[in-house]
Amino acid sequence: MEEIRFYKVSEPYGYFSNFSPHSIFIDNEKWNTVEHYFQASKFNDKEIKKKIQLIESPMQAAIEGRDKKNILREDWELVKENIMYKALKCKFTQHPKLMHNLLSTKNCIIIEHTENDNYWGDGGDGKGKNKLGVLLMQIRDELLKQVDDELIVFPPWIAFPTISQYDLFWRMGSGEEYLTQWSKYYLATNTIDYRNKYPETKEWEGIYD
Amino acid sequence: MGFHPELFPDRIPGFKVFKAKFGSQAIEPTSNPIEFVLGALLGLTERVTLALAAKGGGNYAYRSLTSANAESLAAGKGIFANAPGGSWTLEQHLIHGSSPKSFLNNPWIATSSDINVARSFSSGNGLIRIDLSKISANSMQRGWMNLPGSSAGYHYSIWQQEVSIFGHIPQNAIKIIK
Repeated sequence: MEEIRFYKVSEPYGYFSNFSPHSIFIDNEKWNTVEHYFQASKFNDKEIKKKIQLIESPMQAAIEGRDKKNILREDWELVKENIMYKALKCKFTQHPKLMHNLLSTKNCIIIEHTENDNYWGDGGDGKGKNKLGVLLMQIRDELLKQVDDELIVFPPWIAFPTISQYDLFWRMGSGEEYLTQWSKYYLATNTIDYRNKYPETKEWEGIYD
Repeated sequence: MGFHPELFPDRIPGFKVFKAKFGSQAIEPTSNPIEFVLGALLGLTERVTLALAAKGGGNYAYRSLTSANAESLAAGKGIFANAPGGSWTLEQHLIHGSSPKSFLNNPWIATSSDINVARSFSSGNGLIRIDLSKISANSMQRGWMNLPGSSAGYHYSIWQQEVSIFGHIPQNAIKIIK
């Protein structure tokens, strides 16, 4: 079976890296990268979370998150994979082009190839757990079961469930960028089938009309 | 329900500038507070108020760019609304701006007088500052001064300090911040 290896953002498949410059919105908050969210989630201390959220680069966020002087939440080892899953799901649903790239890997094995990490990566010699690659494949497989069209763009209330349709978010920057892609997809597709499959929520009632 | 300033104390333009000058928040002044408060007290329309503030200088709005905006700016054409000739009113823009039909009908461009709000919506395509003194006063509106308190778009337009600009923002009114 074909293998896809990734690590550095600047190399092929670099968009699978948690350092890739794709912001995510979770629980009504914006995070510059998955790495920012993941590192901040290690802590209960709101000040540390905020500090990490405001750091510009994912590398600096990772350094701060690994700083031993910061006290980890007690259940971190139990929740860290779920948190990574949640962040990755947001990343790929909120960035349609990335989702299309992920879906196009079909049944390939995705590997974070690095000797720097035996848990999230493969350890460089293939003996690591490759948890990041495993989660990416899990999300890909779940999405492939869910969609009829690999080029789909999900409606905004699925991709960004905490953002109201009246929010300025949708009228500039990343929100408008998402709506542009969604609108083009929706208007070009079989709109009746799409509407039936993705009925609007109460909060978004009337958006199709 | 009408507008209740006490519910949004940090979103009143004058107060916001006061905090920027004397408080600890790292935000940029958005307008001349005296002119805004005076304008509100006198019951002037938002267009007149904006024009007065712009005349005094230092009156800016901000916008996170889309990739289409960035391309247009790079070509020296300024920024255009999704549908510059569209028929939507300001209220339709504020309420239905997230609809697919926005791309066919919406002649308004959203900006915010709060740089932090605009920055929070960054898509990686850049952030711009718009000099409102270079925009026709008739082309700028603030929804919260136009819409009834019962309108769904009313509170968001206060909270997020939207300044809606009609049709087109000329290149010479725009400064790329990042």
